[in-house]
Amino acid sequence: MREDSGPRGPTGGGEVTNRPGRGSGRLRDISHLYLSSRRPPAGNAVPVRRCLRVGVISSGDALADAEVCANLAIQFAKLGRRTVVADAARALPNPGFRLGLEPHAYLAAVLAEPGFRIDRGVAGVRVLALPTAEAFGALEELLRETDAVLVRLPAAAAEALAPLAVSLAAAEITTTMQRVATHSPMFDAWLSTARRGEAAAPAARLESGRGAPRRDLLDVAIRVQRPGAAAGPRQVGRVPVRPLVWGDAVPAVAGACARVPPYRLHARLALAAVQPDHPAVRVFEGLAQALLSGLGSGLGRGGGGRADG
Amino acid sequence: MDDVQRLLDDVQELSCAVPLQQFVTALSAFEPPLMPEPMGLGLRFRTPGGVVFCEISVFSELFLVRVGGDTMEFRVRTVDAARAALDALVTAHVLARGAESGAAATLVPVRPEVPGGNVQPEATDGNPGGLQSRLWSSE
Repeated sequence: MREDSGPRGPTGGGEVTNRPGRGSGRLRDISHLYLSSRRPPAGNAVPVRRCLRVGVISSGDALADAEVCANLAIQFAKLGRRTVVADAARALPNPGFRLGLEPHAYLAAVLAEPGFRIDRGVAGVRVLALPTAEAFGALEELLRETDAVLVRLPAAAAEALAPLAVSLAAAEITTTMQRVATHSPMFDAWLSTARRGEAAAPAARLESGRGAPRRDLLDVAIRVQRPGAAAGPRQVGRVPVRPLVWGDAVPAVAGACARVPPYRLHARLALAAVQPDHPAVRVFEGLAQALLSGLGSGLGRGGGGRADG
Repeated sequence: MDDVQRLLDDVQELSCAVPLQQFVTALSAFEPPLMPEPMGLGLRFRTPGGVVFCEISVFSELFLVRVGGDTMEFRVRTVDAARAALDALVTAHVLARGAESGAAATLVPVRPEVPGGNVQPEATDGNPGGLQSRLWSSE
């Protein structure tokens, strides 16, 4: 006897009964998200969201790092994620340049001008230079409404990350609902309003985690491989540094997360901005998708942090 | 960078000192680093490969920036002009890097010649989940 495996109709087994009355309160709570005339409920601050934190460790070649940063950021933006690039390396060329910022904007990261700048580059990617302590606070504010942040770090990544500890401290994903929220912005919006009470601020999360195993400030660390480059850090905190083979003739690297085929550099813009169909851009797209899907998968980020599926 | 500091010390009384200081600060941020060497009225910066990248000649109220030898010249009196010259330098740096590396020499067609060809990240075999596992695993 064969079990019917065809598509089930609206009254088939396993259906979810639609009860219009039950979710109407929740719909009202999030109506400000899709109705422009509605304001968010007073006193219901949107909790800090869980965003993907990618570190691009300096390879000694600022152009390669900036190009990888900018291309990944554009791909995140094209996938519908609000993306921030934070530059802590202070080297030229920088991601701001590859994202099409004006000279006074992208040079601010290098010249250490007072204050901080947040500029929008190609595809709406926001770029923040991190030369001063003021910018650290700005980063914390930015991350409240960000889905993905790319931090370009110098070779001494751990030291550069230390001042960013409060900004980058992220809520741990502990429940299935939270994992699902990392995949679906709409579900995440609903979950934000459904939580009871406000989520702890990053500083409080750090404080509360004192007794617990130290949390990582990055989800993934990437380092561009290039011929003749000095060996870099093998891990940042507990997060292993993944090599990425970019362009030049680099022999196969064990554990490489991606191999970007060679391409002709545009004078000012990252490849993804000018040739979105290029095979190298497809690699960045696949990498961005893999990073985003990994955020909610519950896979551990080193140490013994592998969560249950 | 002793030569750079010496130049900055020498010109700190001149009216072009501020834009020059910003310009040189930004030049020292290039990675891989440029190699400065003194010349008649200023400094010459070479790439790690020994190619002349730019030259600075300082006069009392302005300084001249020649990009890539003699291809472009900027007369800088203000900070804005210094930024414009830096912008040209960064662009020239990217173009020079492209010309030096095998990346630019190996032209890849914009669209793959194989119908439906789509280069995926290495070691995934088209399966982002495989890449995801490698990225997020602890080893």
